[in-house]
Amino acid sequence: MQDVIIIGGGPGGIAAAVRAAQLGAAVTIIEEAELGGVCLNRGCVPTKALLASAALLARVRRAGEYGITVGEPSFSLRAAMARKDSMIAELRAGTESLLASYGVKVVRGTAGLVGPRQVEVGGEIIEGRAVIVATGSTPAKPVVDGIDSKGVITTDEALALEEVPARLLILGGGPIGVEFAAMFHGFGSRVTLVEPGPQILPGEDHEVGQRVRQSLRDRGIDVLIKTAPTSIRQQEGEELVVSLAGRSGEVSADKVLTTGRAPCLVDLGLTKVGVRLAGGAIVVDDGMRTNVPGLFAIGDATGGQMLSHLASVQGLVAAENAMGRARRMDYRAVPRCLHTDPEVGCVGLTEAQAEEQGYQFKTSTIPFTLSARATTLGDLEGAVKIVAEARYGKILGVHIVGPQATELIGEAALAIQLEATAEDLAYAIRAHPTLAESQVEAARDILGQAIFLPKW
Amino acid sequence: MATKVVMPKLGMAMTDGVVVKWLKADGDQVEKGEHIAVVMSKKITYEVEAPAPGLMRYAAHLKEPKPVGEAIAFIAEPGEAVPGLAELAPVVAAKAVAPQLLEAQPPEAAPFIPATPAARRLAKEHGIDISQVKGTGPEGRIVEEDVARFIQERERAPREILISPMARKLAQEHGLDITQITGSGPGGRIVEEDVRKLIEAKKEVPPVMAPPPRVVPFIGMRQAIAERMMESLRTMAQVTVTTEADVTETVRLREELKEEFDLTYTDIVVKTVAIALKKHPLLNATLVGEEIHLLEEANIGVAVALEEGLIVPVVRGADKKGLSEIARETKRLAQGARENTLTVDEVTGGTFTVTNVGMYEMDTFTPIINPPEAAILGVGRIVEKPAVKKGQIVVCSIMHLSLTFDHRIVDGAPAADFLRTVKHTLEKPYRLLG
Repeated sequence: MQDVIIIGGGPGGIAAAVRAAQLGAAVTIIEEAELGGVCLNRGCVPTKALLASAALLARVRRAGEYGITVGEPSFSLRAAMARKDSMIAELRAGTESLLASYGVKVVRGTAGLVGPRQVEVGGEIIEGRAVIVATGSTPAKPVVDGIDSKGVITTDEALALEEVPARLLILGGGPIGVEFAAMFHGFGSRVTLVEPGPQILPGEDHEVGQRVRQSLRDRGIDVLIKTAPTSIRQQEGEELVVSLAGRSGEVSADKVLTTGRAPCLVDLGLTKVGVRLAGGAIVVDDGMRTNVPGLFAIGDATGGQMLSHLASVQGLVAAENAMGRARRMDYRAVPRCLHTDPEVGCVGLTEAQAEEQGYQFKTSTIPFTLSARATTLGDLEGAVKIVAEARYGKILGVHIVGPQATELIGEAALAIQLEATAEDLAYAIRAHPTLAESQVEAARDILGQAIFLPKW
Repeated sequence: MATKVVMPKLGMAMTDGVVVKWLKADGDQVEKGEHIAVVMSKKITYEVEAPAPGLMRYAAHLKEPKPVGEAIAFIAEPGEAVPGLAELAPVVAAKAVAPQLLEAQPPEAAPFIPATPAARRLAKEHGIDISQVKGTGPEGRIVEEDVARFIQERERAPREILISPMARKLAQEHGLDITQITGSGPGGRIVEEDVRKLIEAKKEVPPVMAPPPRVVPFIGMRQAIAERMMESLRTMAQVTVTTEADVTETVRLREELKEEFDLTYTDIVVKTVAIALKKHPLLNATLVGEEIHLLEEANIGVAVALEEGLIVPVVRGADKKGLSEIARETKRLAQGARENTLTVDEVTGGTFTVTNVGMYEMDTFTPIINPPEAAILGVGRIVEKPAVKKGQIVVCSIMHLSLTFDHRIVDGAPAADFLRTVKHTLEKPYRLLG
């Protein structure tokens, strides 16, 4: 009898396992592939490793601006992939020893629920006081004529490519699509990014969408919005020809990359035990409980934003609740980041969401061109935008496009979590010259007290 | 030489008592014969008079059990120094509930804390637990200055309230006192949601200024009754059975006898019950450890309602007494109960209780057994009802009877049998005259 059985050894499952073990539980974690899940093996980590290569390559090309003379750099995708793979292996080993240090039992195999608290793996049935489903997600291709053509690949395959495709067409202008666009553009592909909605990074603040779209375009990436493929045809010589809705002419590509994802729930026995699903994802409450007592679900399996760090926190919440505590998820301060160049970091409400939720609000935008630090770095693209509630100045959302935005957003996430007001940020002192000053300046601007914005 | 005021012996069985209320303050000047304290035994309360004039100093804590004959206070002559309660060592910890303590557990001794009287007074005034104060006097004795410093530090220490900036602003604007808000965030931090909920709650309920409740002190008799009733229900398996008795003849008997002496239905029931108990000894019993003691005497307690509570004086050997004697005795006891002049012996030693609520127009109820007795009989009102007798509809006087018995001691059948005996006796009461 185990206290907690976790199905899936991704970031959510690992966090849940460690937390449950900290609370004294006997924990079994079942993983059918590699520990670390999509995040470590086919998602966050490999993409960030490759994006680091792409960013450095771009920076080396700009070495002259900094007074450094280098020759034209040459890039090897194989070498970048090898670097990425060795990092994954290292982190995976770290994960294994972490779980071992907590006495978490790792069972290899494919799990299926045979009861609300019974899991079958490798012909054996394990019983637990609680089961946490953390099976994650898997790439899902859209339904398009010719989508099964040979050159149409998912992100899994894109991360194992041996050659840089000369022309890459990416379907989906969400965070995954944009990161892959930046990555392969950096590696030398001619990239076309296709987004069916009115803006790339759908759901993000419109200013963020605009800035990122502009930045991608400036770099030479074709960004097509409000369109989607109607058919994909395979030509001779493996060339793909893609027809796009509402557009005359076709786009040719060597590879077509799909970026959709869907919860991984097949053959898990969910319907057998009566778990409620909606839209192909498990329905949970704010304590990560499903409708079946003793059965929890976290991360991508529950749909939603599909973020590794969100899955981890959901794992902590599920583990605590499985161990008899009462902790609730707080979704107000979940950062959303892109490790592109410039980076993107967002947290909290967008302007549109603030309006939707009936807030009276103010916004302020401070471009990094006003930042001494951004200037010295030579990274002037982007801005900090704050959305604050008008009456009390409560920070509702912060949206940063620019250098180190993914790090800067941590401060904003804390501000939102602690219900800080514009004064709290505006009266803060930040070192000079740093990028963090821009966030303080944006808060000052909410109060009408920005000091580096010229007076109108 | 100071005069000792001792715990009085209020009855033969009394071994100790407690002071439940001081009528004079510690250090007050008192006159001889003035009431200075209310003491309580298991059963009754009694006002203690000052035996001499002088300055009174307490020698007992409120509700601290004191053996009979031991000092509860001293009356000092002018100019004489008498140690106050604070200097009496070891200090006996006062317990919250007195009647329980009277059950002979030895009082727990609290560690003695050396402190000057002035320090103790100051601590008391500010509601400070003196054991929390660090003494700087000789041998760590707490002096007044120590307490003063303690108070100052306590007041200076900022009461830290964790609250989010947003919640603080919101509370401020709505004029809410943040010290009164319970935080739901990490570490009890007050967050926006907490304040919003409070604002909503205030909106929902229009502020009605509830008048302050009238306060009745929960002490003395009230507290003693509460303890006994709870003890009864906690420790016994009580079952209530009810029946009706045709008391037409009893009514007639009483009408006749009333010509001679003041006789109540309760008196008749007391006599009836006493006789029935001789036939059904299990109902006249008490449980002692692993033994059921069947009691020889039928001592019938009669519940008397008083303004401040309830007291149950006892008619001893009621089976051997005639109706007129019983009638005289219940009258005397009831008056004593109302005048608070009963002795402990008059309110103890009962073996069975009768409680009559007929005068309040009640029929049946579930009386609670008066421990350590085994049963109690509740008497309801007498009403005239039509009944069929020998094919004729006749008018009968019907009395409701409710018997609660302790199922640990006696089962349903013998208990019902007892009640049936009572019923039959009340239906043919002339045998009571024998």
